[in-house]
Amino acid sequence: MLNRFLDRILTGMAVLAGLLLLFITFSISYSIFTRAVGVASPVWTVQFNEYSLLWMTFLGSAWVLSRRKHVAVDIITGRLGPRGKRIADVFHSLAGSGVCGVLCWYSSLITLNLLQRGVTDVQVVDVPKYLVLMVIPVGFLALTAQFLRNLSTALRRIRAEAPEGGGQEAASKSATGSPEGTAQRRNG
Amino acid sequence: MEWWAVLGFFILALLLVLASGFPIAFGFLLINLAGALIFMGPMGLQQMTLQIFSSLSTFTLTPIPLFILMGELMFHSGIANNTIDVIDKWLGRLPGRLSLLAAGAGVLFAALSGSTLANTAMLGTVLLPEMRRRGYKSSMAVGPIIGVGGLAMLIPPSSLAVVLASIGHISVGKILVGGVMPGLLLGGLIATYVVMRCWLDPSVAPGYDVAGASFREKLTGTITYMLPLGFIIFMVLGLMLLGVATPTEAASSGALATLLVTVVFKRLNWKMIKASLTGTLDISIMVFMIIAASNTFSSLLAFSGATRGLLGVVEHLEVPPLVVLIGMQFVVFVMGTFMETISIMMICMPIFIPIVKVLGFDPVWFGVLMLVNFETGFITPPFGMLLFVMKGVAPDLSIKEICYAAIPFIMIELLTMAVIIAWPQVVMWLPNLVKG
Repeated sequence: MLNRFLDRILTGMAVLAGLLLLFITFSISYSIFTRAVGVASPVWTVQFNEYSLLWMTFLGSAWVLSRRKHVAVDIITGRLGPRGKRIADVFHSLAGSGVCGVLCWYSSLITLNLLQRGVTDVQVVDVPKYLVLMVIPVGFLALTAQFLRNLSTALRRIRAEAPEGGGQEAASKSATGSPEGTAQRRNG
Repeated sequence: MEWWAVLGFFILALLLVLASGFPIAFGFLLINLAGALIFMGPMGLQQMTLQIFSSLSTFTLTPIPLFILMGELMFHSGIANNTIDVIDKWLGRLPGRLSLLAAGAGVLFAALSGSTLANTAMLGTVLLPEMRRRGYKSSMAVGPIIGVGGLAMLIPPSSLAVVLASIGHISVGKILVGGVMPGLLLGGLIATYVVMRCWLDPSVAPGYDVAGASFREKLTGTITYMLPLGFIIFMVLGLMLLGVATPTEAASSGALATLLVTVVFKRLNWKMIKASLTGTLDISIMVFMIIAASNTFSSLLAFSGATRGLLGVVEHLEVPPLVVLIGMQFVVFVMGTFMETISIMMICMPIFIPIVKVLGFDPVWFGVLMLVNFETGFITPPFGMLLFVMKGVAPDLSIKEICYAAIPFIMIELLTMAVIIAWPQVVMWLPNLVKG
């Protein structure tokens, strides 16, 4: 229930991130086109593309985490047995939810602060800065939730494996449904 | 605390966190968090949010998702594969023709996509079975493919070059254009090596009869398959070289051109688009989450006095600048054999770029040198990533065989670095031609 709710939210956020990606692709081409044919090109292209990069990242980050596509160095963990991997998973999820939780809290504070002081991002189009930064606490909140979900999955698996000394993949209906232990070193 | 203790502590803590298998992006955030708390207190944590904003909302980063999108479209539509056949027809009966084919297709793919992994996998999947059927030794089959696979990082569109430029605050356009000549040089050296080796020892790549293709056939193939890809290359590289488009604009027109070509080849469908968008989001968000930590990380290095301290030491070193330069490259080379590329950039660039400037080297030239170095790291045992990609493509080959096959190509990469150091014009000639 809770799982499905989180999945929906993460997917919804990822769809928005995808739309921003399309916006980036087409808005820049559109401004080249207008310049080429001699029509006044939109003044906001650069500014809103910059915002889009930030928004795309924070809208999609938790979804990427749920797909386990955040790159990690697996030289050492890749050599661990299944149980070792689960234990490493527990530590990573704990640390991850801690980092993202703290950052969610402090980014909320500063976003509120910007709202109260009425700070604007003075560029071509004046935009209240809190509206731009808002996505950061939202993104960290989603990341915290996803890390906590990874934590509960990892704990459940350890518990399922412990009595029989492993082997039973009772919890293999993973919340994330992503393959584990695969090499995660990727590059752009 | 002394600056060197701070620097050592930072880097050691970071390496430990990363080596534990913690996702890199969050590893950097964790270290930032600790650093900000130590040096600035809770206010520093609020400041971090603003720095995340300033790290990411940077227009120079825009080519990254666009270049990745280009590569994903290219990969999922499979339009580049047809060209292998065309180059094949042109090659005729040269010694080691399949290895040469790998080199040629590798350079072409590099100009169409920025993903070293996807390119190597593509070349490996298409060419390796044929090479082995023809009795090529693994040194001549695997070697050229991984040698040329890394070129994607050097020849635009290259998202890693953009990441490097933006972390090091170097001109994105110049780094991209600067990678072209060294990329071609590397491709040429690899081809030369293949021909020489096969000429000296024909048994590594037995010759075989090739069904001759008429000139007309070759020409039709070229026009049908190569020309549209030439259009894509022109839309990226051509526009940048002509000085009419910024890197971001070139990236955007390149992505659109690729989309257009998939339409022409009737490969455009919802499944392909969805897979490409998903792949692009995966990679670009992963990259951007790491970059999100970049400003805080480099300002912590500066704030702790580490950057200044190190600069002071380098300034008073009694050795020629060249030695310092080679030392820096050596550090990157060693890191490259076991670490992921963007994290090396994040750690090294804030420290190296001030040093490079003090020593009077050109940051663009230095950046391209770094890229060649990363490429070398990709194929250097024990952990070079392309070695594992190759193992994935050809599971029956042992990793040892693959490593041996890589050795001559590691030498070629090192030779290229030496050439770049000896003759900086190799890098700088093209960027200097471009206006602005």
